[in-house]
Amino acid sequence: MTMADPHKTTDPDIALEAFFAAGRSAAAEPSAAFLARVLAGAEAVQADRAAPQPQPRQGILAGVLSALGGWGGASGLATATMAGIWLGFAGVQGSNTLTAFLAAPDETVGTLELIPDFDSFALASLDTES
Amino acid sequence: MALDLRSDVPDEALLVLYANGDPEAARALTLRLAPMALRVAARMLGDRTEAEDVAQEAMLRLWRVAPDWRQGEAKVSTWLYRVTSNLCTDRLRRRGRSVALDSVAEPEDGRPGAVAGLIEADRAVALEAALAALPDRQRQAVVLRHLEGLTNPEIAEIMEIGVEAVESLTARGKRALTAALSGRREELGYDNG
Repeated sequence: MTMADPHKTTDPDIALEAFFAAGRSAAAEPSAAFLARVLAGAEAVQADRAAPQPQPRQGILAGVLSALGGWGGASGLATATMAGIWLGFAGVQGSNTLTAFLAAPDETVGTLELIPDFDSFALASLDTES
Repeated sequence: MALDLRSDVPDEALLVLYANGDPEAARALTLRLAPMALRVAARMLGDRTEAEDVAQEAMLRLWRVAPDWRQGEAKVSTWLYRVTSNLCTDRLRRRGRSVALDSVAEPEDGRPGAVAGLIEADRAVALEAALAALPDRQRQAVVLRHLEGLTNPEIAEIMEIGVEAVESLTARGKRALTAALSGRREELGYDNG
């Protein structure tokens, strides 16, 4: 079998292949400086990833809010505080009310009041003020 | 620079090692892939300095994507070919048009035996000029197929088109190259005898 001579052929594919072969031989070779720049980029990206991410500075209020779980946590805490103050002023009736209710299912009880109504709360407040 | 000491480790595994902070993996991947990116960029752009910029940018993108690399989805080399080619296409569009055929240096004439003594490098220059005159997509397909030696399915994946479209692009590109180079064949030592 004989190879077609690209220098003599009239076949355009074979002739073109000779140009491609020349093109492959003339491929750009990387310089040491180019490779060093690429490697430096690789190392810089690695170093960035390895370094701890700096935390943004925050004020005292922001720190407290963050500790409480944000505005949602703070508002929940405030609500719980106000409810506690209210219960403290009004005074909760003894747990025997609930016990008696549960222990006497035959009795018809319309309402079970664990917390006095607003009138009682107001009276209790007046007592405290006097 | 040292040789690739991990030639038996696949690119994908090296990329995982790189993402985990292995400095040797960075070196091995640089030696393995940066020359490829540079070669393709130089062939598409016809400008060494611009090709180095593009290859460096493509490699930088590889470093950044390493932690999120999904194994088994694409070969690293295919991904890099695609990114490099796309960066080249962007550059070519920005500069308007690539190097005009007649702006590439003619082989020196007038010296004794000039025609007969033309070296292979002159043919490479002629090819580069003819490639530069092709539409971007045709040039990309021809470079990947006939200079990088990739298969049509690989090129289809890189160019994100079908295999038939790749065949069409390379066929049209080769016809245009043949036409462009036919007038220079005798000049470059390819007589029609």
